[in-house]
Amino acid sequence: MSVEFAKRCVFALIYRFIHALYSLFEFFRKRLQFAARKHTANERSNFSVDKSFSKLPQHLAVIANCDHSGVHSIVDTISLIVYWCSLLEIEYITLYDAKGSPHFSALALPTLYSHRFVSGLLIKHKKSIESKIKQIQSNSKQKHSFTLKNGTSFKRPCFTLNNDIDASRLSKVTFISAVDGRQTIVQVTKDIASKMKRNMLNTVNPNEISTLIQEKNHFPDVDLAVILGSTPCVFSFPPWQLRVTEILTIQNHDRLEVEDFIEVISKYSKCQQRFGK
Amino acid sequence: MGPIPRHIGLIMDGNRRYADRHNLIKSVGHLHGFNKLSQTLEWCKQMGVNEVTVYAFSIENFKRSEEEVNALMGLARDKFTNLLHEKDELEKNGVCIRFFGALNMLPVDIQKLVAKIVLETRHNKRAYLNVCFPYTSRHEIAEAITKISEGVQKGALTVSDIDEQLLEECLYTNRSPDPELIIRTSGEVRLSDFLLWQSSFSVLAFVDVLWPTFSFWDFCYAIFYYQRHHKVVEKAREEYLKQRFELEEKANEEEYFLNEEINLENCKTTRSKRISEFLINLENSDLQRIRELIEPVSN
Repeated sequence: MSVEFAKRCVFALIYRFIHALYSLFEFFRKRLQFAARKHTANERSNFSVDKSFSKLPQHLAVIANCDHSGVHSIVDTISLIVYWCSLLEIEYITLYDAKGSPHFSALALPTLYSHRFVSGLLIKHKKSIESKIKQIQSNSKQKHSFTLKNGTSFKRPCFTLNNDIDASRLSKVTFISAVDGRQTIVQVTKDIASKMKRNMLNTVNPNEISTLIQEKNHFPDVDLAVILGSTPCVFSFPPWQLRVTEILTIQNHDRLEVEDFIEVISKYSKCQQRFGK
Repeated sequence: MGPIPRHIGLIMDGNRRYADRHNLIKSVGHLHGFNKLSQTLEWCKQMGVNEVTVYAFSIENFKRSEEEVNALMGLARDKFTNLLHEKDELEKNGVCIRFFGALNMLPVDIQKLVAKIVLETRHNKRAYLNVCFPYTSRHEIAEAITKISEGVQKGALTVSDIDEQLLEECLYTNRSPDPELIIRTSGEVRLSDFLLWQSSFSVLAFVDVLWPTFSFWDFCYAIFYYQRHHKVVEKAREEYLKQRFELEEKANEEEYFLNEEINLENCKTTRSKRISEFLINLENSDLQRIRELIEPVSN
C-alpha cells in the first residue's frame, strides 16, 4: 500500500515538473517572439489592402478577456484591428469584452475616434457609450488619456466620411459584453412566452428564434471570432451567433502586427464549411 | 496546474477524410471512428473523467446522401444492440447513458433501442456518457424555449420566472456540469452547433488529426492544454456567475416592486416552489415519453 502511495507521489511530482518546464518554455518563446518584433508604430499601421483572399468574413468579432491593467494594451490592439477590418470592407465588427467593464468601451471609443477613420464607421449605441464616458470622467479624479501609450498616430486612411460615400459600405462597429448573449436569449424567451400566453403564437422553430435574436442584437451570425490572448475560450460570447463561427486566436496581441492579422484572415479564407454534408 | 476535467465534449470529425485517404468506403471510416470512441472512453475512465458528451450525429447530417445516412443508422443499430447485450457490464461499471437530441427524427426501431438503453442505465451514477444523436445546439435551445413558453401558457410559470437558470434546467444537459474541455479533431476550428450554450467557459482544443487516428498522446495533450488554461477560465466563469446572480436578483426585486408585493421572502419561496414543481413535471413527462417509445399507448 505504501509502495503504491510512494509511486503516486513520484508520478505527481514528475507531472508537476513537466508543467513547470512547459511554463518555462512558453515564457522564453514569448520573449523571443517579442524581441523579434521591431516594426515601429507607424509601420504597423501601414497596410495595403490585399484583395487576393478567396473569401472574407462578413462579420468579424474580437473576443477580449482583459483585466483592468490590460485594458490599455487591448484598446491599442483593437483600434488596429478595426482599422484593418475597415480597409478590407468587413461589414460588421463586434468588439466583445467578457467583463463588460465600462472602461473597455469608454477607452476604446475615443481612441477609435482619435484616429479619425472611425468617423467613417457606424457605431451602434454611440450615444449611450458617450454618456458612459462622461460619467466615468466625472466620477473619477484620475484622468484617462485617450491617446495610445506610445503616441501612435495613424495616417488618414483612403476613405473619409463625406456625402459621396455610400453608408451601406461602411463597417458597423458594435460593443457588446456577456449580458448581450444568454440574456438576449432570456429576453426572447420572455417575448415568446408572453405571445403564447395571449395565444398569438403556438410553436417556434430555430429560424424564428434567430430572427428575434437578430432584431435585438442588430448583427448577424459571426463568421470569424478572433480571441485575443493565449486562452482558447469564448468567455460567454453570445452563444446563438457562434453556430458555425471559425474560432482563431491571436496570442501576441501586445504588439500586434499586420502580419498577424493577415495570417488570421488567410487562415479564415482557407476554412471550408460543409454544413453537415 | 489545473485538475483533470470532469466533463469532456468530443466532436469526432474526420472519419470520411480518413476513409478517402486510405481508399476505404465511407462506412468503414465511420466504423473505425466508432472503435476510436470506445478506446477514448476507456482512456477517460483511466484518467478519471467521469462524463463525456459525444457529437455522434447532427440534425444537419440528414442532408447527406441516403446511402450514407442509412449506413450510419445501421452502424448505430448494431452498436446500440451490442450495448444492450452488455448491460451487465454497464451496470457493473455504473455507466449511465443518455441521449441528447430530436429522437423523433430517428427510425422507429432505433428510437426503441435508445429508449431501452436509457431506461436500463438511468440509475447508474459513476460515469455518464451523453450521446448527441441527432442533435444541434440551436434545436436544443429552441426546445427549451418551447417547453418554458408552454409552461407559461398553461399557467404553471409566470413570465418573470424566466431566467438563465431556468433555461439551463430545460436543456438536455440539466443534470451535467458544463464541459470544461471540448476536443474537436480534423483541424476544423468551429463548434458546428455543438453545446453552444454550455461551452461558454470551456477550453477549446482543436486537434489537427483525423478522428480515427486520434492517439493517446493527443488525448493527453488535450488534457494538459486544459490544465494550463484552467485558472483563467475558471476565474472568468466565477465572475460571470457573480454578475449574473446580481443581475437576476435586481430584476426580481424590480418585478416585486412593480407588483407592489410587500412580503419579499414569501414571494421568493412561492416562486422557487412554482419553478421546482414545473421542472419535476417536465422531468416526469420526459420520462413518460421515453417509456412510450417502447410501448406506445393504444388509443
